[in-house]
Amino acid sequence: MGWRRRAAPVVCALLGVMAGHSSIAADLTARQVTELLFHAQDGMASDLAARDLSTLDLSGLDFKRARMTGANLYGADLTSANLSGADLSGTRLDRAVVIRADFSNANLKGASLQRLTVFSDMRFDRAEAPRFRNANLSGSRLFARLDGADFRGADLSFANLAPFDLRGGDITVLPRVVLVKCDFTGANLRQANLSYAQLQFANLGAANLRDANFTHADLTQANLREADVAGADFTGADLYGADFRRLRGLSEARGLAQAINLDKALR
Amino acid sequence: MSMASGSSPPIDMRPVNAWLAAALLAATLFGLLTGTSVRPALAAGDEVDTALIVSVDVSNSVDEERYRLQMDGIAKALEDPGVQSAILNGPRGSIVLQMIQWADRPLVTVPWTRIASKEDAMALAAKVRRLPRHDGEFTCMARMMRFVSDKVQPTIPVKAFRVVMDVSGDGIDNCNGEAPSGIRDELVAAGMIINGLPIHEGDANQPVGAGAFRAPGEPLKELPPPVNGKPMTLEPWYRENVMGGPGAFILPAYGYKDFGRAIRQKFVVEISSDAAGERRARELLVEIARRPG
Repeated sequence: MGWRRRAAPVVCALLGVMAGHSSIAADLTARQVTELLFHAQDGMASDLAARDLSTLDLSGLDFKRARMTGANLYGADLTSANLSGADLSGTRLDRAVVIRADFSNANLKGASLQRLTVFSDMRFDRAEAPRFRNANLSGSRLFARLDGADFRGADLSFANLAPFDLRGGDITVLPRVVLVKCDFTGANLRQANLSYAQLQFANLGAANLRDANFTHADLTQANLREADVAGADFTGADLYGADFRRLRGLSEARGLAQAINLDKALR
Repeated sequence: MSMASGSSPPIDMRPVNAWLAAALLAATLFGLLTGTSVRPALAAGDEVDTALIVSVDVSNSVDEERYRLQMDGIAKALEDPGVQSAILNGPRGSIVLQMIQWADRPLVTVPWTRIASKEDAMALAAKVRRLPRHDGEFTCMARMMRFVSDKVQPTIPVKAFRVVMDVSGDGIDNCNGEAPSGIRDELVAAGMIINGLPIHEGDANQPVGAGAFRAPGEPLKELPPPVNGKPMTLEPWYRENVMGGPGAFILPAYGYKDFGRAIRQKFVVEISSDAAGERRARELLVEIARRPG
C-alpha cells in the first residue's frame, strides 16, 4: 500500500496537468458545432461568439450568418466551409485552413488571418482560393499566401498586410503577403498597409487606394485602371507593366519618383 | 445547416419555413415551366424506415473505369425492382439516402435525399450516374468515419428507425490518425449499423497492408496481425475494423465488375425490415455464403 500512497500525489499532479491541457482545448467538439448549426432555428443565427473552436475540423460546415464574434478559430480546418454573411469580427483565424472557404459578405472587421493554409499543395489553383467578395476586412491583420483570392468589393480599409517585423530584417528573404492575381475590383483599400505585398497581375481596377501604403510592393502587371490613388505611397514599388490608365488622384500620390520601373507603367 | 464540401454548394436540411416554402413554390412553378422537377424539402416531422449512408472509396487505386463501375452499380441497384420493393414495402415506405465519396478527404456527393416512390429511386439513379469523381490518393477510411460521426449522423433530417452505413473499398486504411475500429465503435454505440463491401481486385487471399502507401511523413505501420496464423486479407480486415452493429454483415464483391451485383444485394438486405424482406435477406446471405472464394 505504501507505493500507492507515494504514487497518489504524482497521479494527482498528472491529472492536474491533463486538466490543464483540457482547459486550453476547444470549448466544443466538431459534432457539437454541427448539431448547434443544424438545430438553429430558421432565420436565427447560430451563436458561437467568443467560443474556442481552435484546431477543430469544421470543413464543409455551413456557418452562414452565424454569430462568431471574438471566436478563436486558430488552426481550425475550414476547408469548403460556408462562412458567407457570418459575423467573424475580432476572430482569430491564424493558421486556419481556408481552402475553398467562402467568406463572402462576412464581417471580419479587426480579425487576424495570419499564416492561413490556402492551397492543398504547392501548386496555385484558383478554384481553391478563398472568397472574400464584399467582406468587411477593415482593420484586419492579413498575412498569408492568397494567390487568386476574390476580394471584389471588399472593405480592407486600415487593414495591415505588411510583413511582421522590418527592424533589422533581411528584406530579400522577408516573407511577404502574396496577393498575386487577386481581384480587388471596386474594393476599399483606404489607408491599408500593403508594404512589400506581392501584387503581380492583381486587379485593383476602380479600387479606393487613397492613402494606401504600397512601399516596396511588387505591382508588376497589376491593373490599377480607374483606381483612386490620392495620397497612396509608391516608394520603392515595382510598377513594371502596371496599368495606370485613367487613374484618379495621381497628382496627389506619393513616392512615385522613388518607384521602380515607373517609365514602364502603362499611362 | 448544410454541408458545403468541395465545390458543391451547401445544402440546407432544416425544416421548411415560410420563405423557403415560397421559394420552393416558385422553383416548382419554374420546374413545371422548364421541365425540371423539384421535390419538397425533408421536414423534421417525417419518418422513414432507414437512413442509408452509401460511402464509396475513390482513392488512387480507383481509376475512372472502376469509378464508373461503382456509380453505375449503385444506379442500377436503385433502379432494381427488388431494391425498390424493399424500400416501398417497409412500414413507412420510404428511406433517406446520402452518398459520400472518400479518399484523402470525404465529400458529400449526394445530400440526404428521400426515396418514397419508384420515380424518386429512378431520379436518384440518374443523378448518381452523372456524379463527377472526387479525387484523392489515400484510403483515409478512419477520417471518413470521423466525418460521418461529426457531420453526417447529427444531420439526419428526419426520424429514421434504422441508420445504416455502407462502406465499400478495395483496400485497408492507409492514412494517419485514428484507428477505424475505434470510430466504428463510437458510431455503433450511437445506434448505427455498419456493413462492409470489400472489393477483391485480383486474389481475395492476398495479404493486405504490405507495400501500401503511407501518408507523407508517417512511418510504415505494422502489418495487421495474422488471423489463425495466416496473413490478414481484406475481408477479415473489414470484419474486424469496419463492420459493426446489430445484424451487421460483410458482402464482398469479386472485382469491380461484380460491384453492381454486390451492392444490389446489399441494399436489399439493408433496407428490408419487414418479415418477408428479412426472409429474403437471409436467403440472399445464404446464397452469398455458398459462393466460391
